[in-house]
Amino acid sequence: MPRSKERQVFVSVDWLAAHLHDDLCIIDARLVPPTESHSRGEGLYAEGHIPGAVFVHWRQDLSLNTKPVPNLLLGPEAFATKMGQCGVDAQTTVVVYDLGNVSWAARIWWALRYYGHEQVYVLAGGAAAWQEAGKPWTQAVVQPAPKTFIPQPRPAMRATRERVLAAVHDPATTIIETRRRDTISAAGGTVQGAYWLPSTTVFASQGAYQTLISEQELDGYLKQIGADRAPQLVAT
Amino acid sequence: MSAAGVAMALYLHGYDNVAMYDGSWTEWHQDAGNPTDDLDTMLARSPVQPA
Repeated sequence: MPRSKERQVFVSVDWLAAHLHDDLCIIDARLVPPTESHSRGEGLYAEGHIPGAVFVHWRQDLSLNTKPVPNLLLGPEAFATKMGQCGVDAQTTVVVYDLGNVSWAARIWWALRYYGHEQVYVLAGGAAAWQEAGKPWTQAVVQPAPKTFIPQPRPAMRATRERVLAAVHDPATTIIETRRRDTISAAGGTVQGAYWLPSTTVFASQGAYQTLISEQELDGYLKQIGADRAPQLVAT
Repeated sequence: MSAAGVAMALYLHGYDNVAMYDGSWTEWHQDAGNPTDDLDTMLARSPVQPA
């Protein structure tokens, strides 16, 4: 399946630099992997960030951290409260950036879309590309005017444990394991029947940041795992 | 978070049928009754990819 031309996920460094003074919500989502200190994201933000950006910590701000299953997406009311505090309503264009490894920014992109928000984009190359281009950088902290975010969940975008269990025995569903090899080993395996297509394959390193592989390369992998023919995909 | 990146790439690629499971790091492995494959079994059915 070709890359869909009417869809836009990324905005460029030049585009964001030209629209810094528009009515955007820029979210700094920089975090380090969960095995390291969780406070580093705030530290990076304090040292400098894109002008106008607010810092959002996925684990602290947008996750349910209750046992026994931490790190799941916040429920609609709590998510709406946080987005409202960030100055996001239905008309707001949101641009999310992370270190440039398309991980935490993608998570917030997904969460906003899951709750029905269309105008959300990821800064291509993240903070690394922004700084490499010599664009403005500041320590000034902004306080966005609160807005009202009304969540409109799209259940089809999210798989529950029950749905994954059903998918294991459903030939119409292709399960895609996206974690790194060492993480899968450490966890004791993957969902039965899953095919491996990690984000480290889908996004290739380009200097200090990562970019999406070519349409042809991605298509090749998707055909090999049957994703192009599957009525339903589950990414895990 | 890796699943979100792949889900985003698939969306950009034209796929509207992707559901993300955000419990794979924690929830799935907390119940030994959940069916799993080991790494080698998964790799054997998957395309060869960069290291």
